[in-house]
Amino acid sequence: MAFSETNALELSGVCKAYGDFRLEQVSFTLPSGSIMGFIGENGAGKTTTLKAILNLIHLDSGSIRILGKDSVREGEAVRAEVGVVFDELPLYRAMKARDLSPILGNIYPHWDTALYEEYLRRFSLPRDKRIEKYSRGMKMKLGMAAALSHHPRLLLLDEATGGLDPVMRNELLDLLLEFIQDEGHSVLFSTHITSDLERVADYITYIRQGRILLSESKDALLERHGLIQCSRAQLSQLEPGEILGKRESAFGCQILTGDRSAAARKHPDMTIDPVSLEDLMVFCGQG
Amino acid sequence: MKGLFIKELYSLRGTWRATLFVGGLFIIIGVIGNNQEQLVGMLSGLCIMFSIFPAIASFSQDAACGWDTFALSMPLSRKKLVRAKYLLCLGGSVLGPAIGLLICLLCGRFRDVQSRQEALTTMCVLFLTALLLQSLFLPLIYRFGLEKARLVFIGICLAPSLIGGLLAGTQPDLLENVELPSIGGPLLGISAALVLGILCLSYFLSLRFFSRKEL
Repeated sequence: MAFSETNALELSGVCKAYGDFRLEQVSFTLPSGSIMGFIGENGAGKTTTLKAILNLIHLDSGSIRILGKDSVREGEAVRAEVGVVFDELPLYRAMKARDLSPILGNIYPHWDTALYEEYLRRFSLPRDKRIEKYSRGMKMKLGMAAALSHHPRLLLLDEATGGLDPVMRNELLDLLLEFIQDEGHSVLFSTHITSDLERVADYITYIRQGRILLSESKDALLERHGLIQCSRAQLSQLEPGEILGKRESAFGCQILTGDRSAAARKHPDMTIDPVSLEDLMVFCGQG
Repeated sequence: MKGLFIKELYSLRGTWRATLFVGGLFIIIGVIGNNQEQLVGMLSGLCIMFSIFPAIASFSQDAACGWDTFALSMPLSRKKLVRAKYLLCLGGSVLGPAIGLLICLLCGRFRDVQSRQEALTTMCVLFLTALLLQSLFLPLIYRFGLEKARLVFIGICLAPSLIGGLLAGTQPDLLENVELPSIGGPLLGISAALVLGILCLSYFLSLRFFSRKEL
């Protein structure tokens, strides 16, 4: 795989084995200026992949480049341009929002104290309240403020919206869209809340049991796939190659197909509905 | 590195307050007692507290909140994280005895030269002891995690204590003629060199263990 400087993130053949789980030949590319949704069911390998990107685990094989630089050899330097938001805010409970600026300001070379204070005001986060008293949404916002205040070029979010109410999730998504206005900025958004990705993502990468099932443009993915609604009797009319996934119920069958337009031409008597990312996950997750 | 030190200051706020409070009690007991030996004994405990508790509290809090994962998502290396912890331990090892010595001098308990020299020697020994204990403890933490390391460490510390207790019970005359090493004496110098060597080995072991750790 040839690396390109126009890509924010490049994974090539990443492998990592644990006792009962392995990342197997994980490869995908995040083009600069885009948001990629990284989806998969629980335990699929999303967090393990993110840890590999951040060099928190040692790879068995493969390589990762972040903003054109090797994530291992130049990891320390390149992380100055990466912002990370974890699902849980990894800070001491007794700390306060105002404590973060002097700490992070002396770690990140491009830390912007004024920007951090601006985010605190914008998110209505109390500066002098202990973090342990923050709600889930407040902690997430503080994590975002910290991640954005050093002018990163790449933002990594690991299940950052899990457990948030719709209003809070909407705020976060608006923030991501604002961040991506700069074409030099990119986002890798790991989540299993697919409705969020349908709103903001440009690309989707789906990981299942440590393997990448697909990695492509969201619009092309949703345009190409379709859900065939048919009866059990009509099922026999479908060729095996048309069936990517199947769900049967007392009322009929739902078939995931990989070429919606071809299926529509071939089976004019069947209803073919657009597919959602959630449908894709559910059908692909069945194996 | 400065950011990491500021982090330790903020995160150990609660620990400092508790340590200062308990330390204050030690001082009051020692001063009220009007007993020089008792004061030195109390201050010895205070010194060890100031020296070791902050480091242990720091590791404990880091583990509780997942700080290492967060720190390594920033432009920090594992080497810097280990180095910061060792500098914290070194600072604690200096701070404890320094405060102890200051209190001795302020209390005016050591007006004669010999008493002052004994206090100074005691503080030097405490500094080396604190440094030695932390040099033994830190690699265990990096290798086994804080909880298991505590158990191993207690075992290591109990061994000389048991031997000392046994000797004191069975051979009480053995330690009577043992003299406290003087400030300028060779024994203290040799001990210092030994502890420094152990500290260096400890640092490299910790670095090796932490470099291999998967977070």
